[in-house]
Amino acid sequence: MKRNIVKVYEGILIEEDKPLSISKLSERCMISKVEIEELVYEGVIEPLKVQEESWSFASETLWRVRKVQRLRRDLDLNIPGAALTMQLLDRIEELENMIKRSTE
Amino acid sequence: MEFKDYYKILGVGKKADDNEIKKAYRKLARKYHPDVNKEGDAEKKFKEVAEAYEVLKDPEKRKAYDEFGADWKAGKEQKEHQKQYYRQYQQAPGQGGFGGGFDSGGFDFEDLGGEYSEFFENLFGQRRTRRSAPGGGTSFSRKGQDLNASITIPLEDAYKGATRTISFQLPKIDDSGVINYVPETLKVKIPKGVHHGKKIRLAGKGGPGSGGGKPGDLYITVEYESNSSYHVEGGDVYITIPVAPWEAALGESISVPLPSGGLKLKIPKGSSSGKKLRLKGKGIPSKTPGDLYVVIKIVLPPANDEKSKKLYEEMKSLNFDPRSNFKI
Repeated sequence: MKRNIVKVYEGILIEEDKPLSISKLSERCMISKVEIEELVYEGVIEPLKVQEESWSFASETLWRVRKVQRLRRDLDLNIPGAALTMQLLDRIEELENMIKRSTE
Repeated sequence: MEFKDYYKILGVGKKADDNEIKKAYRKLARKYHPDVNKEGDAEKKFKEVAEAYEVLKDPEKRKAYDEFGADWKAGKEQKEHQKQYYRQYQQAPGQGGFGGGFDSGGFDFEDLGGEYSEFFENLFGQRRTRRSAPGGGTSFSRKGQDLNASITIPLEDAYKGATRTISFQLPKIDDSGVINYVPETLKVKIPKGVHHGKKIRLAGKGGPGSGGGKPGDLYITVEYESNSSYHVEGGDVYITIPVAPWEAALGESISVPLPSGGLKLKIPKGSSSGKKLRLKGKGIPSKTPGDLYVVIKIVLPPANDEKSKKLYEEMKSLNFDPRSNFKI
């Protein structure tokens, strides 16, 4: 008798994933540590604990930084330009949610 | 296979200079970039624009495209063109990426999980992984690329958890280093309490590593099915529930259908349309469960028969003035 066994994969929700060190974030997003610091000062990303000597970031930060990198590369933006774009995109999302809430 | 008019895609003339091409690309990229434009076909448009720019910004690729691309025809003739192109550029110094292969230089399709058009690959050869490009000499171990996939789930899955099947394109590298995308299907567990837009990481299910490196990870973005009767924000669920005027005025119990099973809800007496009732912890059941907001929407019975007309007439005697506070 033949039986097909289908494996069900279980992943990790990335918000529950391990925090990323600044080195890991730099490596995974192909961005320098200096540029990561710039993104923090521009308010695009936030380290988990600011006062700590070596920053670490929530694993979701990876996606935010990758988005910044795509914007910089594809649209030829510098960091302040990408930071403004991210801020405006966040604002649009917020407003879209407000509209969805009030039109129901 | 379809011929791609890269000049037309960028909206520039055949004689356009580098500056014009760059300007046209930037304008279109800002419009269609998938991180900026959420419309369904934006990503497809952006890939076309990026591919056109990839060719036209590079003097050598542009020359090859101008020579062989314009009168490109399928079959034997086209094969000749490709051979000619290789002959011309294969030996050129500093062009290691060419010679039958194409190295994804500036633009990186890996993020978009896509590949170049068939037309592009026929003209310039298939995309090769930089890591396995021939003549590269030293081989070093490198982790495979991370892949992105997405899955749309009904709200019910977020409440209860589920197992779903996802399909995505898995890059496979053949012996000569050419990347081929093959469809792959996996059964994946959707964890209870997952929020819209969140990602699940499947370790080692991404692209293959090279030089003994580990495979990359697969990231699955979870999206909720769009539905006009609810709206979700983070863990909070907003459900609009239609209510009859007397249910709202007299304060009756109504049943609210929920993915986790229905619940009875007592509407406070004299509730007006748009009133929000908060049910703590009845939203998405994450670690910190969200709240459920039931939004009341008063629906009037139609006055299209004698009975209803008579009842509405009777209500006139209430002397209710809906515009008592209304001033201009």
